[in-house]
Amino acid sequence: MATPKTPPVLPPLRIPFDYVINAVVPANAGQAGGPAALNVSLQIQQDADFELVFIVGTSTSPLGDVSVQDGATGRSLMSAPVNYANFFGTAQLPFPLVEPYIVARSTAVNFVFRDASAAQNTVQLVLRGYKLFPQGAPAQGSAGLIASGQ
Amino acid sequence: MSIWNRERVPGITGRHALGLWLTYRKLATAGYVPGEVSRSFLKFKVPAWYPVNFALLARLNAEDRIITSTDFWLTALMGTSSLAPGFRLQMYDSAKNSRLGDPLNFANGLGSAQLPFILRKPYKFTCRSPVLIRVQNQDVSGATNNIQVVAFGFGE
Repeated sequence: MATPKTPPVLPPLRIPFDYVINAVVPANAGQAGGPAALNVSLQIQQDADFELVFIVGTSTSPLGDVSVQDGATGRSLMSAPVNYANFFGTAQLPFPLVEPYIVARSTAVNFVFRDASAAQNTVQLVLRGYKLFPQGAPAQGSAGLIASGQ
Repeated sequence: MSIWNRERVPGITGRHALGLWLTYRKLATAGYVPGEVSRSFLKFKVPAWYPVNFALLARLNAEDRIITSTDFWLTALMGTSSLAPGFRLQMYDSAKNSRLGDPLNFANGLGSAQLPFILRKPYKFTCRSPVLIRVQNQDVSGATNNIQVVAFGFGE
C-alpha cells in the first residue's frame, strides 16, 4: 500500500509592507534635566506575520538615539540605546538585517527615543519588509504558521 | 537570473536573498556578505545590537566590554565619532584569548547603518564571554569626542 504523500510546504506569499513610526522627540528628551524619553509603540497588524528586512529612517538631526523592545516577550533588542547613524539607513542605502527577522502578528514593538541635539527632532523610522501569507490560503492570514514552519 | 528563484542545486529552490540584496553592490552582493551556509546559523535568531559608548578628550584611551546574554553571532560592525579625526579601535575575545586584529582606524573597521561593515562569516561569541573594545581618541583639539561602537548580530 502506497504511503500517502505529504503535500509540499509552499514558500510563503510575500507582500511588501512598511511599518512607519513617526516620532517628534522633544529637545533633550531623556537627558539629565530634560523631558522624559519619548516612548512609541508599534502594533504589528493581526493579518500576517511580518518579515523585517530593512531598517530605514530620517531625522532632522542625527544627534539622538533609540532603543527597541519586543513587547510580546519584553526582550530588548539592544543593551543600550543606539545612535540613529548606527541604527537606520535610507531607501538608497538601507540597513540590511543579514538574516530577515520575523515578527509575529499582533506583536507590539516598543521604541524609546532620546535626543541630544538640544532642539526638537522629527524622526521617521520605517521597518521595511514583507507580510507573510500562506500561499494556499492567502486571505486566511498566517496565524503564526509561517514563523514556525519556514 | 532572479534572486527569487535562484538555485544552486537543481530542483531545490535556494533561499531568497532579501536583506542581503545590497543596493549598492548589485550583482556583486554575494562577494560581500555571508554565504548561505554561514547564514543558516542565523535562522530564527533574534537581532541584537550591542553598543558601547565613550566620551574621550584628546588622545585618551579607554576600554569597555560587551557581555552577551546569549550566544551571539557577530554579523556587522558600525560606529560613529563626533569629531572628524575619529579614533583607533581594537577588539579582543576574552573567551578565546584572541585579539581580533591590530588597532586600526575606525574608518577601516567600522561602517554605519547605511553602509555597515558586514563580516563575510559571522563570528560566534559564546554566552557571557566578555568582548573587550579598546579605543584611542585621535583628536588633539581638546574637545570631547563622543564615540559609539556597535556590534550587530543575532542572539538566541
